[in-house]
Amino acid sequence: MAKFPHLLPADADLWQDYINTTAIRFTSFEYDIHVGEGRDPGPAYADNIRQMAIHLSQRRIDVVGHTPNLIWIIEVSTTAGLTALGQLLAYPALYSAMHNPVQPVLPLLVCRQLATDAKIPFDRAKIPYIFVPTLTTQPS
Amino acid sequence: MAHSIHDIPPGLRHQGEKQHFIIWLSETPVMNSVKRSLIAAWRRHNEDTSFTPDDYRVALQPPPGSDYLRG
Repeated sequence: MAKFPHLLPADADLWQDYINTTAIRFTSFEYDIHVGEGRDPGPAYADNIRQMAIHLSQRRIDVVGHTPNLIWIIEVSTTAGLTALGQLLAYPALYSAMHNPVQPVLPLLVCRQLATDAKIPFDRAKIPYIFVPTLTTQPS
Repeated sequence: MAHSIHDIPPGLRHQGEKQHFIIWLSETPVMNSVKRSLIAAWRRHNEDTSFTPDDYRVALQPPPGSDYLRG
């Protein structure tokens, strides 16, 4: 069984490298957190099929990291581009709408590198990103 | 975030259930982007190299009356 089954294998290695080296004092992590309403295919389908479709089409946050005072919405991507930017703009709002947390909810990108044309939009949007070097990791 | 094998019903997760998995996808009313992500999860899990263009065509066809799910 993979250690982080909801992450792609390369992203799981990246995440392991990150948590081995981060200076942020996380107290806990949650993985594959569903947010948003999902897409309801409508009353033409049986209730169990509708619920399955909604579940499958909800947005998924890679990792929610908790510290004593903050909640970090974390996307993990070896080469992060504008898809990750969109996720990190949207997911904190969706998470807050669903959970109404007391602590501030902040975005964070964990990556090996940024894709072409991604740096300027990330900087403009003030989305923090962390480059993680490849370390020796156990197979995930 | 991609889907994982855990998003697929347990009885459809193994290589020997490929045809049933494809039929399940064809009957599941979700966007094709979701279906592609589920196929990728299934293929990673099984280290599959057998998916053909025809398999994708069948899996990605929308259920009757749900053409809006092609995206």
